[in-house]
Amino acid sequence: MRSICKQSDYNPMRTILILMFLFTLSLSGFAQFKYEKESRVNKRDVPAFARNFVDSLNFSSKVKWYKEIGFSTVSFEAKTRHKGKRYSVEFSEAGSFEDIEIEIKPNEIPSEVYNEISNYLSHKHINYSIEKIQIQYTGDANRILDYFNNIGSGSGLVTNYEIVVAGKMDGTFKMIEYLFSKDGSLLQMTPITSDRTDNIEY
Amino acid sequence: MNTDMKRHLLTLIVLLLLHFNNFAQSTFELGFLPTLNVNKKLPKDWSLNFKTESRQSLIKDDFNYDYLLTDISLAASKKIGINTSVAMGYLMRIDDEGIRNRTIQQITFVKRHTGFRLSHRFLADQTFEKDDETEFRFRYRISSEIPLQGKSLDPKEFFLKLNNEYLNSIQDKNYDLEIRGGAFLGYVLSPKNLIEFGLDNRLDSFIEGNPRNRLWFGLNFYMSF
Repeated sequence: MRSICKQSDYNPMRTILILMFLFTLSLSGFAQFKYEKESRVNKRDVPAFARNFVDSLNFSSKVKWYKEIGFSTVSFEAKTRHKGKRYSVEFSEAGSFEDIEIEIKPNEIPSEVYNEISNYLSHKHINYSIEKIQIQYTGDANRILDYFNNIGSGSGLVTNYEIVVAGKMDGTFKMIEYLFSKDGSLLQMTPITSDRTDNIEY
Repeated sequence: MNTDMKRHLLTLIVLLLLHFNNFAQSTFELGFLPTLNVNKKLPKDWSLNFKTESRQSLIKDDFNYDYLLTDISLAASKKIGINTSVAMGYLMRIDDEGIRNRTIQQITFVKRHTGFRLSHRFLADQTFEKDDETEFRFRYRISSEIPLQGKSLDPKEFFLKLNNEYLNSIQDKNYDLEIRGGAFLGYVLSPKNLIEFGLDNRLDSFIEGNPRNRLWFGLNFYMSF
């Protein structure tokens, strides 16, 4: 009798909804992590606007182009060294400008901003090390070009700091990408999916 | 060509000739070395590694197939830093003479650089044999993994792995040094599986006696779950 009652309570629609909910949860779990599959591409396979934009920046060294496939986005990235620094310029899949990132050292961040960032990181992690710092410029593509070609003042551009930190969090060691504003306020925090090391450990 | 370059070239040629001359006097062996490596991640940065490796000789002076041994090992590893892990393990070696037991302790530092990764492994092991003195070895290995597509290694991509290892061995007050060099081409089949094949050259007994030079065709399969 009980089993008959149970059968009559069974609602396939509810099961599908629960499964869909769990699937969505698992996808959103993925989306909280930074994952990028990067592969080298030829310059001719890059949208024309992106090619022309990078040509206009007059980099002194050879530019290498990469296609980055994330969980939900595709982008193009130009990487080069210029005046002793590593530059990366990111574009959407359609070729519109997204940002320029330049690798910098901690002492290139204004000391009051760096102290603000350090305070935040010290509260977040017992021990941490800074793996990489990039200054990030976003904004109107033409203003960016003017600024980097020493024509414009850089007004209207947004400057942030992207910092990759290695530290312990929730009991395990993790790599985390933080985005801080120009004045050191936290804008975004993204854990980076850890890469496997078994083939160079054993 | 300037004088400095000529001098460097001449030194290089002399060193190469000496190297080949040494090999000419050494015993040479060519074989096959397939490896299966299974890694299981556990909570709190712990992991377990199971490895089995079989050694088969194809040429020793003449062509002659000979099954040499099988190694089976299990190690527990704990991450003690973002780039550092320590491991302890046990290895069982099965060959014609029976079973040998080996205990292993290692510390590994993995550093990510732009375009490649570098690993430094310091390893100590102790091999216990029934009718022989215990062999103590202290090893250092440097490995680099270089993605061949893009700046980081992703699924469905090839990579190059280069190894260089120095093994100091002490057994019954006798010291020997073994030098290993390996070059492998790898392919990431999926986030959980990768395969490598290449050459692993091992040179030992060159401090005293005739050097022994062994060249292995390696085929390594790594699984993680």
